[in-house]
Amino acid sequence: MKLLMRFLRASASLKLTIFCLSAALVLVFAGTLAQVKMGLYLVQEAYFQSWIVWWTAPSGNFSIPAFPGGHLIGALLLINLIASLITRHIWSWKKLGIQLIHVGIIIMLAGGLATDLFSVHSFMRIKEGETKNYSEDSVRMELALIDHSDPEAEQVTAIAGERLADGGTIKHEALPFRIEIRGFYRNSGLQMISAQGGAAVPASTMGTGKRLAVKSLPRATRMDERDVMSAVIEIIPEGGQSLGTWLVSDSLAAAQEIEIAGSRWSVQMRPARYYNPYSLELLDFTHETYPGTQIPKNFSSKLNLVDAENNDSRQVLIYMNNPLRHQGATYYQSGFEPDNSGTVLQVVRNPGYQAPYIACVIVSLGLIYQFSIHLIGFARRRKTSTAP
Amino acid sequence: MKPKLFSAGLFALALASCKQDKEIKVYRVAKETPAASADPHAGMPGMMPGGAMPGPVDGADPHAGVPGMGGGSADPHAGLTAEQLASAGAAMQQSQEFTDSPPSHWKKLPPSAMLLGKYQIEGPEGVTVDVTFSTLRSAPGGLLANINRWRGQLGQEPFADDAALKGNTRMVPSSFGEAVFIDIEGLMDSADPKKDGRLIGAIAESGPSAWFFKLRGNDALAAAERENFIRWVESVKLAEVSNAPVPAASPADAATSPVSPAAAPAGDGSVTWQQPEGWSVVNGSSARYATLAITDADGAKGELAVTHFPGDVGGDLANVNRWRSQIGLEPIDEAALATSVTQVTAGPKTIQVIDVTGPKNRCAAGWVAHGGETWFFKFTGPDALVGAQKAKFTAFLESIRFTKPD
Repeated sequence: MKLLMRFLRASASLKLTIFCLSAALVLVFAGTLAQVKMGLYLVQEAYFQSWIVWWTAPSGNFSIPAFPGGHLIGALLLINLIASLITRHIWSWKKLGIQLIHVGIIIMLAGGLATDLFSVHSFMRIKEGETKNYSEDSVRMELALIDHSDPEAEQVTAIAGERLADGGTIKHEALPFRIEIRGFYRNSGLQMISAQGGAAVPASTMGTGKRLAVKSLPRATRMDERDVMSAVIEIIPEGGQSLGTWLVSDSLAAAQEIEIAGSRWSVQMRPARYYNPYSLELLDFTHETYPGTQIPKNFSSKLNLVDAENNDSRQVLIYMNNPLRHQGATYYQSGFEPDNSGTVLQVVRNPGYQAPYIACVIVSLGLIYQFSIHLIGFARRRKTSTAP
Repeated sequence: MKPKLFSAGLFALALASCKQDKEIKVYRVAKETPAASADPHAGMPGMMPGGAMPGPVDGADPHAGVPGMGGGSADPHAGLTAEQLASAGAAMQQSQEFTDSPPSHWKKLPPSAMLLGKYQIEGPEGVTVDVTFSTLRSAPGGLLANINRWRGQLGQEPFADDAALKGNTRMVPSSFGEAVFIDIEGLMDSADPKKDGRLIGAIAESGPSAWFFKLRGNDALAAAERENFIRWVESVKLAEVSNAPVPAASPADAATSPVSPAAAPAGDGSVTWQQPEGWSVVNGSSARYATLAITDADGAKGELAVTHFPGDVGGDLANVNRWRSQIGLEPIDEAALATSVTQVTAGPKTIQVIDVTGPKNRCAAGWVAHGGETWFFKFTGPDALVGAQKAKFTAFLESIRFTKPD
């Protein structure tokens, strides 16, 4: 118990609070400047969604820890606040307001961490008259291996793109073959190999890659670009010989078909998909502009929500600042097809989205309570001092 | 114990997030209809608001090759089977039909793999030029990389940066928005001068997709077809438009965004024109349909603003007097207006034009009523610049065509 209290008292240090706040200040400043060269998304990864910010030597040979990352600073601040709450402020009615303020800020920080770790942003594109029950990630990729042997349904084995980065062998009970990662390109460029030959080497021995060369490219840093993930995979059936290598790439929109042990499979690198137990049908998309200009006035999507599990079927209208919230997902109006024939919805699943609201209410209550106590005390003292 | 539990919780959170990044999921879904699966990649609007330019997978390009390796004219996709085509053409949107208005002497060829459209032009003594139309999406590289690849195919040095690119290209209208237009001359040692020597191309970006128009072949014949090519680019329209989304800006964003949705010269396609040589489209005010800019050798700058408003916007006299006041001139009356207005014929339309010079600037402006609106084309700049560019401005007005009925 003594050890615990010592740890708590050390963690409750005001110096630690100052350090964390100062470090956060420096991190935000450095991260903002770094966006000039690295772009927003890489900076988010390296500075704010990391435990440590690493400095890499110009030669690229080695990296050393340079600064605490956003997660570490946030976590330290969280510990600091909790320890302070426990050790510094004696639980009493008089200090209830301060306690509430601390609790509110702790909820805010914890919610921020949860959002960072668990929120998922994706997009759902629907054309008028079309029904969809999945959205696609804007960053994460997946290697989808689809078994078409069942005439009723497709069995999809989706391997996260980040798993491919580890290389090696991938085995899974759902796959009657193993996959050897022969090449991985976080960002890549593909090029057709001229029929006249040349120095370019085919990316793979089978499929589309026979006519394509692949090369590694620097990570995309511009806001209007994203990495094009590619990989070269070798497929080896159980107890059999290699069927060859295939190039899978985000650049190749269609799946490649493979015959494996008498079954038809398809392989495809694609944005990670998130399926829902409900579907959305786009009934109508409206795009209004101000008269005489091209200035957008309003976008709205009229959808039919069908949730058979919850016996919930209704029409919904999504427009600017009026999202649809359903089963933990929020659908925002995000974009549209060039010919206005369809809509693009941003889908956000954020388990911590209520944390800021709850935190603000608690902090507000704490402030009101604490100021009220001071005000009442002040009024009493004044009354006493002015009494004849 | 609480701190330990708390720390353990934090690590569990971290581990959970890492695990989520590398997991393998297995699930069953109903078989997709071809329509639903045709475009599994269609754009990530959040990531590509400006449209990542398709890069080196220039499968659509019959002259495609490794830059610097020679611009072979053989189609690298020739001989692909239907099955290969289906997969190799994955970077393309094969199913799209398009309409166009090619010159009558262009010979239509069956589109080969990865090409949406293909023509051949034959000249004297066996010289030929190929014209192709294709699309790609979701690949890196950008405009500079694609233009440099084209330059490499003709043995030309790549442009060093975007500034060099900008200085050597101009914009032309297309149904996909403004297209970057370039004319490249060059002949590789191994190339046949009857079939190679000039590449005239245009690239239009639309969402995450890019549309490639390319004319390549004999130098002289290609040069002679240049204007036909520009008109053809403008005429190409998809029967089934790309699935690529255009990110929607909120009204508030649009009002402040430096990049206006109306900045493209073709805007929503209501009006088209031939862009004057040396002029470029710039990001102007969002209240404008388009803004074109010109800078002369002395650094003087002029601007052509295209706007349209419902009705007659107060009438000709009020508009002309507003422009006069903007350049420091006194207003005029109806009688003076009648003597200062000239006409320019633009197809079926007659555009009213005035040209007035103030103490500082000169303003040449044209206006025409169409579809219940009045369209304004106002060219403003220093007197010398506007005077020097007046002929081009007139040609610009003459090239204006409205695509929607009056």
